Amino acid sequence: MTVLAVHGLKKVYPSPGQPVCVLNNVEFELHSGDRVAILGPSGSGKSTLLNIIGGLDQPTEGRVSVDGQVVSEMDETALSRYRNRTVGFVFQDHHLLPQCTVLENVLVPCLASGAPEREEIEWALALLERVGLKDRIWHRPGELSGGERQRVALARALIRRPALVLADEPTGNLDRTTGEHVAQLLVELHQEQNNILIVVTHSEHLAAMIGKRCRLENGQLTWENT
Amino acid sequence: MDPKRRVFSIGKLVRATLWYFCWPFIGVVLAVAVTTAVLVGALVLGDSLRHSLRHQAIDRLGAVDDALFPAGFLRQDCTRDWQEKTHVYSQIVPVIRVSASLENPSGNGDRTARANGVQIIGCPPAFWTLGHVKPTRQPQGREIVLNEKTAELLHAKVGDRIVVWLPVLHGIPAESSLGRRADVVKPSAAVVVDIVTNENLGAFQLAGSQEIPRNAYVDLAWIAEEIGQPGGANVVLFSRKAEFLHDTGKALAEVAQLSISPEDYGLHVTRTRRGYLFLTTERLIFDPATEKAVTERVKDLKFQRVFIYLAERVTCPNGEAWYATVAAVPLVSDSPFGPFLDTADRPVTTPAEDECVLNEWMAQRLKVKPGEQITLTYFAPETDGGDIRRETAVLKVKAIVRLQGAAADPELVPEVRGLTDKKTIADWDPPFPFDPSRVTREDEEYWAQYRATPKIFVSPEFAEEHWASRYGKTTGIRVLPTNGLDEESLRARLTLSVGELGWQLQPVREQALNASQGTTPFDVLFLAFNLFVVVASLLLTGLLFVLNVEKRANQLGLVRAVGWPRTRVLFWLLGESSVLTVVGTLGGVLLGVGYAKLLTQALHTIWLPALGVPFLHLAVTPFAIILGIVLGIACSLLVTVVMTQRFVRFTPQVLLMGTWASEGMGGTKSGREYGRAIGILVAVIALVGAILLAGLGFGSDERTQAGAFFGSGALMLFGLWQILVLWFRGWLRMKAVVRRITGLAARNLGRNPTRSALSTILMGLAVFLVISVSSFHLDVSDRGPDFTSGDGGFWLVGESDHPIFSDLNSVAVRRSLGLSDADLVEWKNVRIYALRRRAGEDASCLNLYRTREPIVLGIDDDVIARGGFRFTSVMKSAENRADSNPWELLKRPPVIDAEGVVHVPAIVDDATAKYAFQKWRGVGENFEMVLPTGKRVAFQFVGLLDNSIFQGRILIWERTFRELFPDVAGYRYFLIEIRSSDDVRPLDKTLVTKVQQFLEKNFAAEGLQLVSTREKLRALYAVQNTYLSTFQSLGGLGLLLGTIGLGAVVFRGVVERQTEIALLRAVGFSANRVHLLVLVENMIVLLLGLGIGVISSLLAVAPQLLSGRGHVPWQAAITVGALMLLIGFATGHVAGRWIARQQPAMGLRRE
Repeated sequence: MTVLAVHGLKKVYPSPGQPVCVLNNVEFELHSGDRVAILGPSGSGKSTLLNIIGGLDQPTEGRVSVDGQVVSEMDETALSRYRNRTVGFVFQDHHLLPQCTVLENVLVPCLASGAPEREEIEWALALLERVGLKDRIWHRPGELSGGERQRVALARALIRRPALVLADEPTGNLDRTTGEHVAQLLVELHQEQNNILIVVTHSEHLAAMIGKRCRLENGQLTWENT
Repeated sequence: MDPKRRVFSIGKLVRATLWYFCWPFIGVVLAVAVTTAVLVGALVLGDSLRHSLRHQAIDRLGAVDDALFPAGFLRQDCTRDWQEKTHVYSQIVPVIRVSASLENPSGNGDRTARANGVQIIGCPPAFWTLGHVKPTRQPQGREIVLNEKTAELLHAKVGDRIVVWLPVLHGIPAESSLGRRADVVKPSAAVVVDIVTNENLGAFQLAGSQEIPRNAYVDLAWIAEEIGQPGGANVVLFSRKAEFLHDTGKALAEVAQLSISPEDYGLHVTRTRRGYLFLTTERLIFDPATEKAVTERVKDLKFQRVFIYLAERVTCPNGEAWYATVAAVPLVSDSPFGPFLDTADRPVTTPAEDECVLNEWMAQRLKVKPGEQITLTYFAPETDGGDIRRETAVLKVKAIVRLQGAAADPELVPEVRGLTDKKTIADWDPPFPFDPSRVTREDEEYWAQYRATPKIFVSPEFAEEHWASRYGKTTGIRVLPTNGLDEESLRARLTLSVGELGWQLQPVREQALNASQGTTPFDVLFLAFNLFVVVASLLLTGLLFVLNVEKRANQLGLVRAVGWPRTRVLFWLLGESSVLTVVGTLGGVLLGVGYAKLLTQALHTIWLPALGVPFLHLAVTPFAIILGIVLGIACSLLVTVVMTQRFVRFTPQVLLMGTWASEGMGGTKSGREYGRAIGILVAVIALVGAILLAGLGFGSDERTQAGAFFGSGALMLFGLWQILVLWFRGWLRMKAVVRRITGLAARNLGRNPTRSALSTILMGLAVFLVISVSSFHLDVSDRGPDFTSGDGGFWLVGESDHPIFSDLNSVAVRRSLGLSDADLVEWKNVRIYALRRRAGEDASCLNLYRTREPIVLGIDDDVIARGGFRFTSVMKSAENRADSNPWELLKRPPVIDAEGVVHVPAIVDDATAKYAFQKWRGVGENFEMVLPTGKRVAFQFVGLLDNSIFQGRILIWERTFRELFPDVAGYRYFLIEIRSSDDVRPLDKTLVTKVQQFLEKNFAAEGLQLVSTREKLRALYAVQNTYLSTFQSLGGLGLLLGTIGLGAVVFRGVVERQTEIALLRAVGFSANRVHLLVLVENMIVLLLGLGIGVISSLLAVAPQLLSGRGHVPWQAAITVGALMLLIGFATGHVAGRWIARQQPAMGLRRE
C-alpha cells in the first residue's frame, strides 16, 4: 500500500512585479487504488502540482512524501530513481522518440540503469497488447495515429509498474472519441495495477471518467463531491 | 522476429538516433573530418619536410660518410696509403673543392653569361663511384662537367667553352707581408663535356641547404696544377663499409690515427751543406699547430727555431742598404749551428733584444762599428687588409761576424718563389713594394755569391716581438743530426697523425641528418597556421552537434523525466558524438593526406618563398596519421561534451517545455542574477587579463610579445564573448517596447544567447586573426635606405667568391679601375665598407637546414664607428650606456673558459638567434661552433639586430676574426653607402646602378655580386610574409567554416521559428518584412563579430604598433570586413528568402 502525502505545498514564481503564487498550502493524501482528476483553469498550477509530485519541480514550501520519503529532500540520484521506479508520467505531448520503435519507446525507462531485462520486455509486450498495439511493436511513432502514440506513452508510463501514475492532459491533443478511448484505458490499467492515478485536465468529461475530482483555483485545492 | 531476443540498449538507442537523424549528423561528421584533416595535414606536412630534407641531404652526399678538411692542402698520394690501411672505409677519395665564378662567353647570345659562387670539384674517377649520378664522360684535362643548375645559369651546353676564374693559391698567407694579393684569380678555359642532373653527386654538397648547389666538376690533376697546388687536395672524402655505417666513434678514432708524412702536409726535410737537417714549410711560416706537432717530435734532439725576415731598408748615419735578409736565430759556437766568429775570430753569442749582429759585408756597406746604432725599416708582418705598413726598429750593433761558416749559410732562408729562385735581384717578382733602382751593384754581387744569406742577425725575442703574427713565428727548424739521424729517419720521425695535426674528421652524413631536422618545425608551424581552421571546425562541430541536441531537447527531457540519471544522458550523447567523431576522423585522415598534398602544392607555387625551392615530397608516416586521429578524436569529443553538457544540467521540465533556450541555467530570478554576476566577473577578469598581457608585450622580446599577442587576444575574445552572452540575454529581458524591426531582431538573438554569442565570436576570431596577422607583415621602405633600419642606410650589399684586397675607397684604386675624373667626383660620396667573410652555411630563414657552421663576418672599426641598424636588444653592461653605440660591444676581448672554449662577443639578427640557432633568450646566449682544427668557439650574443640584411650571419670584430680564422684572407663581403652630394637634393638612383655595374664588371673574376639592400631584405622578408600569408589564407578557410557555421545557425534559427514567423505573416508582415528581419539578425551578429575582432586585434598588436614594428593593416581590415558583410548578407538573404517564401498556413499547422 503506497501513501502519497502532500503537506502545506506552496509554489511561488518570481515575476518582475508581484510574485505569482500558484499553489498555496495544498494538502491531500492518496493511497494505492486512489485516482483523482485535478481540474482548473489554465495557469492555475495543475501541471506545477503534478511536476512537484513527480519530482520534476521543487516546491517553495511544504513537502511531498511517498511512503514517508520526502521527494523534495531527495538528492539528484534518488530523485532520478524515484522518477524511474515510483512514478509513471503521461504527458499531453506523447514525447515518443521518433528514432525508436514502439516497443523500444516503451522500454526507454528501462535504459536508465543498463539494458531491459527479459521480464521487462515481456511486460512491455503485455502492456502493448493491453493497449491494443501488439501488432505495431516494430512501428515507429511517425507511423502511428495520435491515439496510438498516446497509448504507447501510457504503456511507457507503466513499464516500471509505478506506484504513482501522473497524467498531464493525456487526452488534450486527441479528438473526443480517441480521448475517451485513452481515458478508458487509463482507468482500466489503474484498476488492474492498483496504483495511484492523478490526472490533470481541463476536460470535465475526462474528470468524470476518473471519478474523484478536485479543483485548483487561486492556489487552493478544493475537493468536489462526486 | 522474437522481440524478447532483441536487446534494446543504449548502444542501440545511439544507433537508432544516428540513423534517424543522419542528415543533420552528416554536418557534424564533415566538421570532424575537417578538423582531423587539418591536423593530419599539418602533421604529414611536418613529416614530409623532415623526410624531404633528410632525403635531399643524404642523396647529395652520395656514399660519402665523412670528410676531412686539412689546414691547407695535403698530397693526394697519402690517401692511397690510408686506403690500404683502413678497416672502416671502403673508399677514400681526395678532391679539391674551391669556389669560383664561371663565364660562358656565348651563353647569352652576344653577351657573356655568368655564374658566381660555383662549387668547383676537382675529382678523380673514384669520386664518381660514390654515387649513381655520373657523367657519360668524366672530365680530363681542360674539360668540365656542369650540373643542370650551373648549365642553366650559364646557358651552357655540351661543347661550349667556359671560362673558369680559379683562385691561385700561393703557399704563403696572402695577408702576410710576403703573401701575394695581386693575381689571386686567373682564367682557365674548359670545354663542357657533359651536364649532369641536379641530384645525387650532381648536387654534391657537404653543407645543408635546400637550394640546388651550383656545381662544376673538373679533373683533379688539372685543377691542382691550375691553382698552384700540383698533387694536392683540400678535402678527403670517406665512404664507410656497411658494418661501420653507424659507428662514428670508430671512424673518428681510425682517421685520427692515420699517418701523414712531412711532404704530405707540406713540410720539407733537407740536409744542408753545413750538415744539419733543416725543416721548412711550403707556407713559408710554420702554422702554430704544425710547429707544435713537429717540435714535439724532435724535442729529444738538439734543434733551433729560425725566423727569417726581410728588412726593406737598413740605415745608419754613414750609409744605407736595401732589401736585406735578417735572421733571428740563436748564435752558438758548436758546429754545425755555429760558430759565428767576429773579425777577431772570437765567437759571437746571441744579441740582446735591442741588439743586432751584422755580417762583414753589411758592416762595410753601412760603415758601422760595434756599439753604433742602425735603423731597420721592415714591412709589418700582417698587411692592413692588403695594404703594407712599414715599421722601424733601432738596434745597437753588438758585433760584426765574418761572412763564413755558419754566418755564410744561405740555406737558412727558405725558398720563396719569385725571390730566392731568381738569378739576380733585378729579376725579383716580389709581392711587396720593390724599387729596383735601390739595388746596387754590390747587392747584386752579394746575391750572386751568397744568395739570400742573412746580413743581419737579431735575437729570437726581437723577432717574436716584431715579426710574429697570426700566421706563425718560425720559418725553419734546424735539427742536429745525432745518433745516425738522417733525412729519412727524421722524415719517419716527423710522420704525424691526423689527430696530432689537429685536423678533425667531420662525420658529414651524421651532421646532414642532424641538420635535416630543420630549424622550422613545419608540423608545429602549420598546426599553428591551421589553428584557426581547427578552432573554427571544432566550433562548427560543436555547433552542429548542439543544434541537433537542441532539436531533440524534449527527448532529453523525457528520459530525464522517466528517471535517467544525468550521467546516463551524458553517456547517450557521448555515444552519439563518439560514433560521429570516429567516422569523421577516419574520413578526415584521407582528407588530411589530400590536404597535405594541397599544402605541398601551395608551398611549391604560391608559398614558394617559404621554401626557396620546390623540393618537398609527400611522406605519409603512421605516426602522423595516428597522432592526427588521436588529436582529432580527442578535440572533437571534448568540444561536443563541453558544448552539450549544459543540456544535461537543465531540469527535465525545462527540456520538456522547450524553454531551455531562454531560461538559461536557472529559471529563478536569483539564479539568473547569480549567473549574470558570475558572467560579469568572468568577463571583467578576462578583459583586465587581456589588457595586462598586452602591457606585458611592451618592450619585451619577440617571444614574450608573441605570447602576449595570443594570450591577450584570446582573453579579450573570451571576455567579450561573456559580455555578449549577457548582452544577448539582456535583449530578451528588455522592458522597452519593441518598436523597430531591429529591436525584434535583437530579441530573437536573445532567445539563444549562447548560440548567438558563439556565432559572433567565431566571426570575431576570424577577423582577429586575419587583421592582427596582417599587422606583422614586413615591408621594405620605398624611401630608400635608412640608417636605423634593417639596411643600416646601405644601398648595396654583396659577396665575392675570391678575396678582394684593393682599397675600393682610394681615389688611386678607383682611377686604376677606370673611373674618369668626372666619375671620381660623382663617386665622392660612395663609401665601400669591405668586411672579412668566413665561408659557411647560410643560417637565414632562407635555409631550412639546421646550421652548424654559419657564415661569420668580421666587422671592422669603420663599420663599428659608423653604427646604424636597429637592435631588438642589446647586452646591458657598465660600459654600454643607453646612448652608446651597441656595435662597440663587439670590441670586448674574447674570454677563454676553463674548458678552453673561446667566448667571442657577437651580433646576430634577432630571427637568426631565435629561429636558426634556437637561442630563445637572445642576448647573453652562446652559439658554439667547433672549428676544423678542433677549437671550440662560443659566439656570445651581445646584440640582436631587427630584421636586418645580416640575417643568417654571425658578426664579430675584425681583430677577433683574424685571430680565429688566420687563413681567411682579404675581403669578401661589401656594404656600399651612397649619399647625395648634398643634403638637399635627393640621390640620383642611377648612380646606385652605375656603382653596382661598375664594381661587378671590374671584379667579375673575383665573382663579386651585389644586390640592392631592399632586394635582399625583400627576399628575407618574403619568408616571414609568406608564412603570414599562409596563416591568413588558412584563416580565410576558417572564416569560410565560420560562415558555414553562421549559415547553419541562421537556418536553424528560422526553422525553429517557422511557426512564429508564420504568425507574423498571418498578422500582416509582408514577405519582405520577414526577409528583412532575418537579414537584420544576421547583420547584427556580423557587425558585432567584426567589431570584436577589430578591437581584440588592435589590443593584441598594440605592443607591435607602438614599438614601430607593426602597422595597422587597413587594407586587410577593409577586405575582411567587406567580405564578411558580403557573406553575412548572402547567408541572411538566402535564409530570409527561404522563410519568407514559406506559406504561413504551413507554419501555423505545426502549432
